[in-house]
Amino acid sequence: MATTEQRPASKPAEELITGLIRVGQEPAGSGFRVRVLAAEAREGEPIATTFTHANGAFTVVLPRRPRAKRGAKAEALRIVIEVQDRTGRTVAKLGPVEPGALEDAVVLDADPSSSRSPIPMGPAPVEDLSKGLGPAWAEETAILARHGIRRGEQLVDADLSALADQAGIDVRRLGALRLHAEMSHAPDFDPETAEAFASIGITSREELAGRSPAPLMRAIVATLGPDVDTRRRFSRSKVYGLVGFAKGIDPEPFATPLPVKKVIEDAKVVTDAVLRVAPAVSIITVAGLLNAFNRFQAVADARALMDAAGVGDLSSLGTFRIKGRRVIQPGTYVASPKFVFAAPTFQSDLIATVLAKGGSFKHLSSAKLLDDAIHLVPNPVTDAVIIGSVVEFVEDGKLVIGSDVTSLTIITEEILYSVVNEITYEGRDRSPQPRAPMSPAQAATGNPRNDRNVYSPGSGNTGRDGGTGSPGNGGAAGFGGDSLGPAPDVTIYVQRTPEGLPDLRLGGRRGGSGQAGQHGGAGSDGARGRGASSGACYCHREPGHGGRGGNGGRGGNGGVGGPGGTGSTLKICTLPENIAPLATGRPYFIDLAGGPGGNGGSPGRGGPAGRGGSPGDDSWPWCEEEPSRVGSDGATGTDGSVGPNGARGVDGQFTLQPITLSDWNAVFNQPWIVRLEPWAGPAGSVVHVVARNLTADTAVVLGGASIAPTALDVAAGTLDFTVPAEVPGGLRTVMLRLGGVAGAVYSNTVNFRVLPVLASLSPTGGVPGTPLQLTGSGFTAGSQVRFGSRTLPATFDGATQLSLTLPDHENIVEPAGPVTVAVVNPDAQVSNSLSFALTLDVVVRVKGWRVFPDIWVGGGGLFGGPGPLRDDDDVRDVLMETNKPADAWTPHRVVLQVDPNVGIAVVPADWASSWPIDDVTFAENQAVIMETDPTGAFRHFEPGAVNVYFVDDIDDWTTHAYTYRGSETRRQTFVIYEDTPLLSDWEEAHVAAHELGHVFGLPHVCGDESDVTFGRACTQGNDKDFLMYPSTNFWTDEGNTLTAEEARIARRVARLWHGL
Amino acid sequence: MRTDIERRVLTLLRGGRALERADREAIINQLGPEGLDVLRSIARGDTEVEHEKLRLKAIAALGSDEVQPEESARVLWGLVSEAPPVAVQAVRALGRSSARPSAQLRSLVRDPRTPPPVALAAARVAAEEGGDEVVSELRALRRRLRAYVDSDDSPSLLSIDRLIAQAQSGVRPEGGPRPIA
Repeated sequence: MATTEQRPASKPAEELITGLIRVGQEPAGSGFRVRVLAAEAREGEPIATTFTHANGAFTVVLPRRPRAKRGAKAEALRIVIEVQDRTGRTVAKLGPVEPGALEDAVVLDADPSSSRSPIPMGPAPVEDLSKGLGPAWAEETAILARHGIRRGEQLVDADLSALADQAGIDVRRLGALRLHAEMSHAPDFDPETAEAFASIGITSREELAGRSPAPLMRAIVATLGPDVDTRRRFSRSKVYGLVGFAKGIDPEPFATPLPVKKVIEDAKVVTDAVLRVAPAVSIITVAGLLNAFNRFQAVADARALMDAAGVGDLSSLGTFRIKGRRVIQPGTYVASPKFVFAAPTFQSDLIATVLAKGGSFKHLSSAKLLDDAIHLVPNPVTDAVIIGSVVEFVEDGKLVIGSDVTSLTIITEEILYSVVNEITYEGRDRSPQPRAPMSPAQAATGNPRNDRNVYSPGSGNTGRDGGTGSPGNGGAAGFGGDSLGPAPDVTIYVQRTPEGLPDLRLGGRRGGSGQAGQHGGAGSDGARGRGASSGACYCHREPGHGGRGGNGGRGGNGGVGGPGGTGSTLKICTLPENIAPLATGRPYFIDLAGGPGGNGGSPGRGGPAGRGGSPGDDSWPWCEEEPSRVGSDGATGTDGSVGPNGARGVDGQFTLQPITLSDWNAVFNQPWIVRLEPWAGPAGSVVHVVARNLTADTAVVLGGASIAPTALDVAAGTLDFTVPAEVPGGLRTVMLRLGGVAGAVYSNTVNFRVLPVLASLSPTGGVPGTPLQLTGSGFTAGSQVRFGSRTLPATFDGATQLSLTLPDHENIVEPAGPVTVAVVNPDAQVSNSLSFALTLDVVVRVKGWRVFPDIWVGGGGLFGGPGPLRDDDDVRDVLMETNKPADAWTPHRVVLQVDPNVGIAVVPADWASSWPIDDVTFAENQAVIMETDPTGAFRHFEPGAVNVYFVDDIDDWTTHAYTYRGSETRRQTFVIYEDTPLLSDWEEAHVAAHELGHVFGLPHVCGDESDVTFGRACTQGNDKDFLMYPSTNFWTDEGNTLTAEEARIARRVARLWHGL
Repeated sequence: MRTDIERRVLTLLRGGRALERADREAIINQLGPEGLDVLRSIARGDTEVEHEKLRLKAIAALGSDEVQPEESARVLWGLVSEAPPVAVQAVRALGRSSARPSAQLRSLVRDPRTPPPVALAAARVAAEEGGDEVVSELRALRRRLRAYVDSDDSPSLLSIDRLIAQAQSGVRPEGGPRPIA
């Protein structure tokens, strides 16, 4: 079972044992527990334990033994090394042996076929069913007792529906009783709580274990109404806790007393310190986090990260050192084992193993060996994780979270630091640069008023003054400053912080400064004054004055400073006894405050003034001149204002989560799904589960249904299961159940996405309005059907069947031909597609018959008696030739397929000559028409066709044809058609088309008093004796059009003859 | 030269109208004695019409005469001796008439000289009355008609079998939707 190679030299006093666990010839994975026991005290506590790494290697440090007294001989220690697999089975053993006699690397071959798992069973149902129930349940428990059910286990094993019928107890009350019996280990799980869960369909621990707490709360509120007590009975933490207890999480076997009051007092000191820095930091209430399930959930998160990195035990890892400015990049840093193996290939082997197996990462892009750690980089990732037994800040080390990292998690037993250390993030002191200043605003354009800045003499003695220059444009306000993203989130799992924590500088970044305001534009110059022109007789001139210069534009205001960045979300998970050192240690500094807002932008300067215009000229030097003057300059524009500072960033969030060592141990002993391969697939997929802490009686619970694994390797921690066909599509929860239903323990819950598969269509082709059935798997409530370019609602008949009715002709949209059909699930997953042959023409077969009597005495006719005077050609003329009735229906996609072979129908002697109408029942008509021969075949009736019987006469004095209609669902219709010379060919075809209208469901309705047919006017609004809808009195000269509604009705009914 | 009432009656007989039985009867009886006289004249063949078909329709209409039912019944009974389809129409009209001559119609069933179509039409009227005697008469008719056909599943014989069952049970076969014209 174990191989020990003796080393020639004795080991040093530092007693480290290193080794490798193998299963077969392959290195075992992580999670094997190595226990070192003193040989003399085998049944006692181990003197050291550790877990294996991903490559099966381990390092265990033996505690130093007290030195022997001077002169005394040191007592030799003999040890036994036991290896337990992930389920707790002992799979290898070595010793007794002296540690010094061990080889550098001990190789132990594990036996995977050992004894049963010692995984603790979940809570068993209550022994006495009536325990904890009040008088309100006395009647039910008495009835159950009469049926021999007194123990909780009996009720858990019972078929609730059958028992409810048998015992006459409401099945929901019975379900509540069962749930109460199974959840007796959960605190405060009273019968009323059980009844509330039963009211939303949860009647077993397994059903409760598989639910997510948040949707569960919503369901409770939706069912029980808004007045339900969500503060106490169904508070968030309570429901979370109940789901945890339903899973069988039970800290009792690992119980560590939790000094709740002291924890809360100590925690308040810590949180107050945080609030001193940033009063607006939101604190997650510590009291709520004392809930067992929340504590477990916190540890579970750490476990998931450790599992992913292939780390089984923190204590076997070495120290992760922060020296100088250490920038943490995305990925997982696993501290090197405590002892570097003598074998130089150990670490490269570890990396090779991690790379080959991907650790537990599905995609690992790189693994690098650092001085003190392995850096695993899954792809893609923006998270960073540090795992080590100790995180030590050396000298003035500073842990800097890299700029690409959005969250950092530290999982360690201990953090060692000195006062100068800190945890911060890259670029914390950086703020966004303001935008570059704008060019000054545009100067005034265009000429001054009167367009007089160009010199031109005036026409009189007086020149006009130059125009005033235009003011410059005002400067625009600067743009607001930018903001950088929030500070990265930090989560720290630490058992001990003897000196407290280093400073955590995780406040938000300063916002960027606003842009400077734009400078104002320059004012334009004033125009030159106009000179005076001639003035010979009166030589006195007044040249114009120069115009006033334009004012400069106002400078723009500075931009608003950018908002500060959001502070970090910090979560510290630590032991209750470590909260006191946190509270009483040195006054440390946790900064989660939002970043200050950026400075406002500087103001823009006012634009420069325009210059005054020059005076007008005097054209005649000898004339007396009034003095002219230069225009005054414009004013300089006023400066803009300084922009306001940006808003302060939002303060971060702080959570102090107490966890106990017993929480840690309990979680690490629960069954645990590490991953599914694949995470999604159709029914029938084989899913490979990588898990921890399995036993031989492990079952998979997929979407609430138990499935037996198709393969199970307890030692390797893997199992396979096949996704059943009846599991609905979408995200389905997957749990593992260890043990029977009663007393089972459940794993964490992960999701598997069931993908839809379309296997067949029935029928595979048809017309619009066809009822369509889709068979496959992975369908779910809300599944829709993609039919060509449209997505149609469908009826969910089950995970393997959907049904829908195709839209009618008016809404089908698709052209005739193959149309792709696929199933679209509510989670946007689309199945494969199949082809449906869409036909737009509704084909109706029509069969004509000539009717003769079976007895005739006196000669004549086909059988020696009378029959219709029409021969086969006459019948074909009526149905198929010019003015054929098909002309009326074909444009509306009802296509008549007339059989050119006219049949012979033989009927009772008195019917052929005169078909009875009023005196004979429909049953008799059917019996005559649908008469069968000895083989059961119809003699003169063609199923699926419209049968038209041409008789000599009809026993009626008003009409020439009658349509017999069967039921809507089984339409066996036939038409009796009189052989009458009273109708023209045109009218005969008209009558035939009209009768087919009846066949297709159109009744007699009089629409308009002006309607005239067969020479008869419609006499009243609802003249039932009139022929159908007015527009279906179709023939070209009567407006051969059907309304859309008429055509829709006709096609719907006609589809029945299409075999649909 | 047609009289007004003749033209009115012929227009009705030329048809092209779909009427419920009650409406038909109302229209016929609204013709009054004069119009009914025209109908009877056409039925007897005394008034010429453009086609024999119109005579048959006049015969059918007389079965609904509530004004002078006995007079119409006498005319119809006189037509029973003619060849089918006139005789068949006449028998059916007598079956509908309020002056139905039940005994005479049953005599048609019993009389071996009655042509098969006429006897069958009379048998349908008789079957509605039911009773052992009728059953016995129908069985006799069946035996007589058996000689005209090759097998027992001939439509006429099967139809008589159903009439016998109806007469025995007194229950008319299940009805159904009336055909629409």
